[in-house]
Order: sequence, then C-alpha cells, then structure tokens
Amino acid sequence: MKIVIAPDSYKKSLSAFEVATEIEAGFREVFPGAEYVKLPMADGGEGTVAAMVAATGGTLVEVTVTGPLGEPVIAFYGLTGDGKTAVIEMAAASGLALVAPSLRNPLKTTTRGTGELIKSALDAGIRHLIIGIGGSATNVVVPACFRL
Amino acid sequence: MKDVHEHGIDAVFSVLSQAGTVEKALTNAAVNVRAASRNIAATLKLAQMI
Repeated sequence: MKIVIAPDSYKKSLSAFEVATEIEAGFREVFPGAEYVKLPMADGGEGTVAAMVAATGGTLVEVTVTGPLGEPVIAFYGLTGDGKTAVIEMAAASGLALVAPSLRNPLKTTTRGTGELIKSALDAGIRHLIIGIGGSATNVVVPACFRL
Repeated sequence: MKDVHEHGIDAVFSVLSQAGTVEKALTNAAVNVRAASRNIAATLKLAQMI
C-alpha cells in the first residue's frame, strides 16, 4: 500500500512537514509495512517558504526588513534546492502574527518589508520569484511593497 | 459536516478528542494529530477486512 500525506501547516503549532510526520507515525502503528510519501503543502500564507524549501532541499536566507509597524524584523526568504528561485511569503515580513492583537490596524500597517525581501533576492541575482501573499497584516498589497 | 459530504468528501475526523483551551490544543497538536491518524488508519484497516 502507498500512502501520500499532503497536509498544510497547523497555525501556531506544527509546520506542514511536522504534521505529515505525525500522520505517518499514526498510520505506521496500523500499517507498518506501507510505503509513505510525505508532501508538505502550503496556501501562500505562513509556512509556504518552509514547505517549498523542504520539498526542494533548499535553504533559508535571513534578511532584516521593515516590519508591519515600521520596526525592524528578522524575516527570511527561501532558496530552492537548485538556487534559482526565491520563495517569499508576505507573512514573514509583513505578517499578522508580527503585530500584537491590540495594535492590528490595516490602515497603519505596511508591506514595505515584503518589498525589501523581494529587493534582497533580486540583489542576490535571483530572477525567479514565487511570492505568497497570505497571512499579511494588511489588506493592501501593491502600494508599499512595490514602492521601494 | 453535511455540507462537505455533499461536495464529495466521504468522512471527516476531528483532530481534537476532548474539549479544552486553545493553548492546550496548540500544545498537544502533535499528539492529537498522531492519535487521530492512527484511528483513521484503523478504520481503513477494518474496511479492508469487510
């Protein structure tokens, strides 16, 4: 029997790969001899970079950028295993999780940090970008992000 | 759940096995996912034997 496990991440608790690992462990108690294929998935929000990096054997690149409230945050983009494509998630630089609930106000938050991530990847010579725009702290994507 | 059944999803299993706080659910996520997965697998195995 071949079992394909393709979960998204669980917000605030498990990465997609960790979810897949636990599902495999549970199934193995019943079907120890089955063949398991773990394929972590993502929807463009938090965890998108982790899933793409895990799927391609890539790496994470940390970059300090402007956070959603203008403060510096340590964000990241992913580099695919072949080193040719950068995977960027808006959640890393401009994510809702970076703003305390009492300060969440889409009229004040900015996506500038996502633009800085894009610029950082371009400056590193990368010409193929995959950008996930889920999980952001704003409801306007284009203005600040592309106004660098 | 009836809604998803009408769209071709045959069965739905909850990862949570008991009522509790969000914090506890997040802390126990790994254990709960594993236990729910074990039960789904056991259900599949029973079906194979019918």
